Amino acid sequence: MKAIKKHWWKALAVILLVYTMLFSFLIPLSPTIKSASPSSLEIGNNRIVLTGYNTNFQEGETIDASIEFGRKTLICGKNIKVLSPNMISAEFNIPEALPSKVLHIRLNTTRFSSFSPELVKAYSIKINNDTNNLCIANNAIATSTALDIPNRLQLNETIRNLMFHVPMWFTMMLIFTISFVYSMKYLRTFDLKYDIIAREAVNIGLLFAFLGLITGMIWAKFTWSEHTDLFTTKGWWVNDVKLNGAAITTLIYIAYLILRNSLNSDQQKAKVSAVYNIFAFVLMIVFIMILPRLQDSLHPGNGGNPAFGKYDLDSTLRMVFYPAVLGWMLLGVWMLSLKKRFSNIENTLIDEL
Amino acid sequence: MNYKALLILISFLSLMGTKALAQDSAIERTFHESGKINVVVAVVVVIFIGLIYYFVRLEKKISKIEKDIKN
Repeated sequence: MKAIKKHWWKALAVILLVYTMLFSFLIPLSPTIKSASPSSLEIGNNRIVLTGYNTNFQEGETIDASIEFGRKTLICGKNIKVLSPNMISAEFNIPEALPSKVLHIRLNTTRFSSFSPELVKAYSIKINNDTNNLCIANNAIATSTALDIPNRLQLNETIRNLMFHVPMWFTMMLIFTISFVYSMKYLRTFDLKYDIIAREAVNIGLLFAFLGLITGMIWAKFTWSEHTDLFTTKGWWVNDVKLNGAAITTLIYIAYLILRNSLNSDQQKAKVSAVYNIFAFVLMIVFIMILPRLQDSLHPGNGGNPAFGKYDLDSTLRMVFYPAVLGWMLLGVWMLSLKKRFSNIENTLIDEL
Repeated sequence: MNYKALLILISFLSLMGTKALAQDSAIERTFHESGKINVVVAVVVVIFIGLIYYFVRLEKKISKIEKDIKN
């Protein structure tokens, strides 16, 4: 009974992380149309091949493909043929005037409905904004409500990194906050046991910061740096406000450790680094929370307010994301408590010897 | 420490590195296959290595303390 009372949160961490792993690897991506060839359409009749992901088309199933813009169904696909489980072909009759040259494709079957923005272009048409629904799609209505993760443009499967990369930063912020609180406690009491917690928290927080940086670099390399015209670097670092802010934060906390090690007496170490830690925490808030919201950033929810807008996360992702954040945070606190207990033992031993 | 062996190892690894750079497109292709799932694998592996690094560091410290107690 006593053990449960003392250790329940560690069990919770394990359960949440197992749940995160299972769900983030087992839920499939929702079926989507990935590409169209040819993607540029001419006025008149066009036969295009639509390639999908996880679509699993079957011969003889009802499929509706249509070209959309601004919630208007413009052109309905005709003669839709299933070529393979991931490929269909459809005919589109492009008129001379359309509201936009860049158009979206909607696909409806009885199993799923998918919307692929900006998949086809029709450069030779004239722009006419008054175009109404030119056809009424004989929409097949998706009846099954399978559990799936949205398949976003350029992200594809990497959207699963949301459960690994993002919680690293949340955990880091929690642990640096703990460090900040214990630095304040130290400055009120001058009791070295608080200083030990503050120091170990910076150590663990830095580990999570590095993990966040490296995982973010890998993720950005294969999504942002290859697809954005805005940022022409094709390398491992994208010139984004939040990336630079996170890197500066990491350097600030490394400087905390260097500052500590440059001083001699324990009380002096503790005092100077506690004061520095308060400044470091404020700078972290500025670099990670405030500056990225003032400027355009590739991170969702930046260059504006709420980080968890309704467009960023869908309900399936939320179902896994929040437990994931809590699980990683509890794991971080667990790691911190181990380090703290170890340092306490070390200190008492040094005093005795 | 056998420095010669270390030197050979490092030069071998750096050679491997340059070779990998030359075949950049091949590496990138594996990451782009099947909806970039390998990017997720890489990220999970990095986090796993990070956690193992924590364990190794903690173990080193514990070993040191154990030695101090013995003396």
